[in-house]
Amino acid sequence: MSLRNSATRFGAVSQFLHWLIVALLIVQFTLGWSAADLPLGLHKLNVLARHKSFGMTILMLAVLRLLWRLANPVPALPATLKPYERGLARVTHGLLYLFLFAMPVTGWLMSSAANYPVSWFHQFTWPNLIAPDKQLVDGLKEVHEALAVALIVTVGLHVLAALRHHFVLKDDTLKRMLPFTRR
Amino acid sequence: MEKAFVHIASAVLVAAPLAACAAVPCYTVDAGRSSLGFVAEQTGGRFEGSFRSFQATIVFSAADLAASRFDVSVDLASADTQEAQRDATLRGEDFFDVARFKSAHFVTSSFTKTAAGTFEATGKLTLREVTRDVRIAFSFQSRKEGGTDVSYLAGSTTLQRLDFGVGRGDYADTSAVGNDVTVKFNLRLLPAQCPPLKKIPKPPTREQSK
Repeated sequence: MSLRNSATRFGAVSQFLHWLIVALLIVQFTLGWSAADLPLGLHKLNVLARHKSFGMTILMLAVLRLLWRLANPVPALPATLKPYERGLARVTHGLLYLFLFAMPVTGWLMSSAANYPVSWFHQFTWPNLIAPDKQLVDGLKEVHEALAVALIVTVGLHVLAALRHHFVLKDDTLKRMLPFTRR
Repeated sequence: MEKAFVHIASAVLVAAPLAACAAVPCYTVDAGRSSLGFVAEQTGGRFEGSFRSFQATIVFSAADLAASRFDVSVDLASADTQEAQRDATLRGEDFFDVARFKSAHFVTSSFTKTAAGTFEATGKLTLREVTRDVRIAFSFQSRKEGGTDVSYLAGSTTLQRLDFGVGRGDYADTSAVGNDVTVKFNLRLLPAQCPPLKKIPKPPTREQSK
């Protein structure tokens, strides 16, 4: 498998970024959701600190991924797709990219507003994006949570579409994002 | 003649403290334009906070460091980190325990000049009834602002919070809450009447050795 994408298949870099971000998103949902139920205390702060570190990692990977996508051809969708299906695929993929940026950025804004600067695994502190503002924190929290739900719904649609391509339409759409598969 | 003597005697009695005051000026803090802040680290992220309320008696002359003196009381309940839950935790018994310890107190014992306009104060800081020697590097500058003599006193020091028992239980873990806390201040000072010497609070009691 080549590093770069081809006209029919995602290359190693795209696949690696895709599946790494999938794994990190699972970590993020686990940490984020469990922190919400924890009582205020050091354990909660530690869980949230990890959540923020992974979130900033996703943000950096999302930047790399977008640049890589712009510098590489995106394998074409199957020719058999109807126009509305193409449109749906485009919107879904666009939303997924949007969420990869919007989730960490709203989290970062929330931390900044609460004057809880974001550290990256205790290595360094990211600058606050905005000045501390108690009034903004709750609103940003709601946006962050609503985006999380919207992300789950969009991922669900994305997964269902991939499975439909593989098992119903029996085309190569899923395989081209899987390592160790051949056309 | 007797009357004249009384006049002279009383004039001397009144003038003597005034003369002392003229030699080493006293200042009051312009609270609205002064700050006493701190930088701490929590789960790896550095954040800033400040004390909204503190009182300082500043007696300072670069020409007479021996007679200079800072005496500062910080209202611990006024700690403000712009986040209500963290502020409540700071006021709680694991940190400042403001129900038992209302204020922190710093009083200088000596000064040294380090460069033109910069000095180092050595003094004792009492926090949670623990007293430690603290050195503070600061600058002192005076100028006229619209006919008024204004001085600026700015500096910082880094404390180890655990030396004072600040952050107990889970919070004693320095990987979660950094041990180093930088305290920084920027005070705008206005000339003031010198307080009677006896009114300057005594250095704190119950000293603990390191």
